[in-house]
Amino acid sequence: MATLKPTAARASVYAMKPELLKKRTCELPGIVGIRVKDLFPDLPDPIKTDGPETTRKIFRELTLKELEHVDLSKIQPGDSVNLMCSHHGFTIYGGDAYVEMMKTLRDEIEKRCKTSDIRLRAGVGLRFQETTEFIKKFKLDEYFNGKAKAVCPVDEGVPIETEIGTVYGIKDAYDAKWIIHCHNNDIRELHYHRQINRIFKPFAMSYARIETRSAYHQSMGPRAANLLPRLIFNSDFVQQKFIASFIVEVAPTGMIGVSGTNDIYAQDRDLTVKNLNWYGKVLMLLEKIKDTVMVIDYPGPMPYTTSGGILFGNFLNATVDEFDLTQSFTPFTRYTDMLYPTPSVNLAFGKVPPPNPAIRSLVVNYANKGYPGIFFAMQLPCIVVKEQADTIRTCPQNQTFMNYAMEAETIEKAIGFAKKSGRTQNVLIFDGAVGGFNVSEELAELMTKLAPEVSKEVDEVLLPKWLKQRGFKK
Amino acid sequence: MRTTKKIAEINLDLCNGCTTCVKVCPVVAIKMEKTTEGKIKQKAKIDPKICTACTICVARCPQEAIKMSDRSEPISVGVKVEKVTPEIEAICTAAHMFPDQIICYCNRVDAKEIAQAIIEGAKTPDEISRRTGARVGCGVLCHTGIIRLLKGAGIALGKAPGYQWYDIKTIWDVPKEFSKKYPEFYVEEDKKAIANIFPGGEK
Repeated sequence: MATLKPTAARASVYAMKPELLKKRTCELPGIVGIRVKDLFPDLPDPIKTDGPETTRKIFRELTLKELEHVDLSKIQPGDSVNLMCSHHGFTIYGGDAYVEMMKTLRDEIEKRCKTSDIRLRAGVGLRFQETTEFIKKFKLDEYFNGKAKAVCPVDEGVPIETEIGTVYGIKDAYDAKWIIHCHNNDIRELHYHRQINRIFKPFAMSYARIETRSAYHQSMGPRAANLLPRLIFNSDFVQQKFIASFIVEVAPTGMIGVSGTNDIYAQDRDLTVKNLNWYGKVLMLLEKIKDTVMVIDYPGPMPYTTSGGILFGNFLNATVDEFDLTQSFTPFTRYTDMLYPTPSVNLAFGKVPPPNPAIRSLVVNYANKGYPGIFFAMQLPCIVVKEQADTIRTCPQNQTFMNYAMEAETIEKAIGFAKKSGRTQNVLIFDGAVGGFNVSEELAELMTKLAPEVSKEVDEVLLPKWLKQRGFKK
Repeated sequence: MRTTKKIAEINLDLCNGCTTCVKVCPVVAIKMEKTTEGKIKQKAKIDPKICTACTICVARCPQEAIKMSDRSEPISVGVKVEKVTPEIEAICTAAHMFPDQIICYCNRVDAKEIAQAIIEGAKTPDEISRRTGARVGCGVLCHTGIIRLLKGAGIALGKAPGYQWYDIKTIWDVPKEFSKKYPEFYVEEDKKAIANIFPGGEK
């Protein structure tokens, strides 16, 4: 089983220079690739592509096909239209699919609606310069005739009247007569969205001011937070502007397609069922792993490092079934991070589930800075490879991270020590592998052995429960 | 105490006086200063005593005129809390918080330290950030926690000098009838779950 190709290092103000990344973890002896499709043959076949050019061609065609049944008639000649998007889409499988979907939307709106005032408004995570980097990388400002802009949660706000009162969006995100929501369905922060109106989330995140985003993470409740995006979307302010929603569909196996519609509710219902089916089995399989070294080796912030469509953050939370809506607190969100003032104190001991105890140690070979991650170093035995440790030390969001972590000279030494101290031969790597995972031979064997029983359990027990909790019948 | 070894530095040749940095700085460390050189009438100036090197101004400057530099001497911020006094306890309880819980995830500033800053005279979010180092990391996540504590102390949120803050809504602003209208969001259940963990979580 040859290893799967990891996502290449990316030059960014939030990362070490690519040339400083001396070795990827998957290059170590004893690491093999394991494909999700081989573990769960019933998961969807991904789109086959031989490179960015083919991906762009395929996703232009898919977007055009979806546009055939999307009503754009409200947009009149000369009207302004904002394509609202989020940073994460630019990282999905290189970003070409997401970018091409938006370029196609721009071209088709111009053609069908006879307006050239079509703008791109791209939200950010907690790395305020990241989206500007993506706009430059994909030459989007040129494509949108100087009308592509990164919008930040610290920018000027715009009041949005909702059923619970005034909340605030980013003024520039909404500065057009019409808006089109451009997003993605992947499972990502399941610990926050819990697959409740997952498609609506950017209305309280990428397009929202700090008051709204902070409330979502800190002051609205671990499940109830998802009320915020829904209320914002339902507001007159958004309803008067909203035209359509376009989603790049992905599954753990790879890229699947494009979904475009005027009816975001129907789209969300469709993608909820798909996500429970597509991601449930992989997540439950990871939940069965009882001991492993966990490796982060990806050009993204720590909890968002991914492989096989799953995040490190998902594995960290695998102590519980996050699709189960009867579970209030999950092991890691900001609602639990706040309960651990020091590595040895848990203010709600016994009342919140702990971070996944299967993670015997966390090895960080490569990750972006720009995400508050001290929780990981405090709560997991953490070993950071030297060049990455130097990067973390320069991060304003992680100034004391290395006070709680060990530093290793090389990835080989880090993994060797982690296996020895964790008394495990299992190694699970989040390095951006598409459609599968790079793991140690021992873990590949275990995952292959466990997959059939997990598949049966999900089909017969868990999926019906998850669907029922969300008002669906299988 | 949180120590800062860096400081933001403005390249005055590039600054066009747009005031963006002034409006986004969480500690209000940047002011505009009149200049007689060239066509620009005012340019940004950083107060080195206040800047905590959060880098938000660097990220938002449209001219790319700001960069981070090493400080000649590091500066430290932080509010000392000898013990959790009844006054601290009262502010935290009104804000539905434990005194020991973390509010700022980046600099690990807890509720009792922010409450103490308020007791010592901080009346706005930027004053709290200046004294404690809260919200000078990511600049986002702990914002409502700070405002909840100010409100818990009975301090009304005035208008921000720039875009530093607007008013907030929290789960405690969501009326009970919402649970019936939107059962899929578990609002009342989450209020109870929080109350089970936080003393004073639900009134």
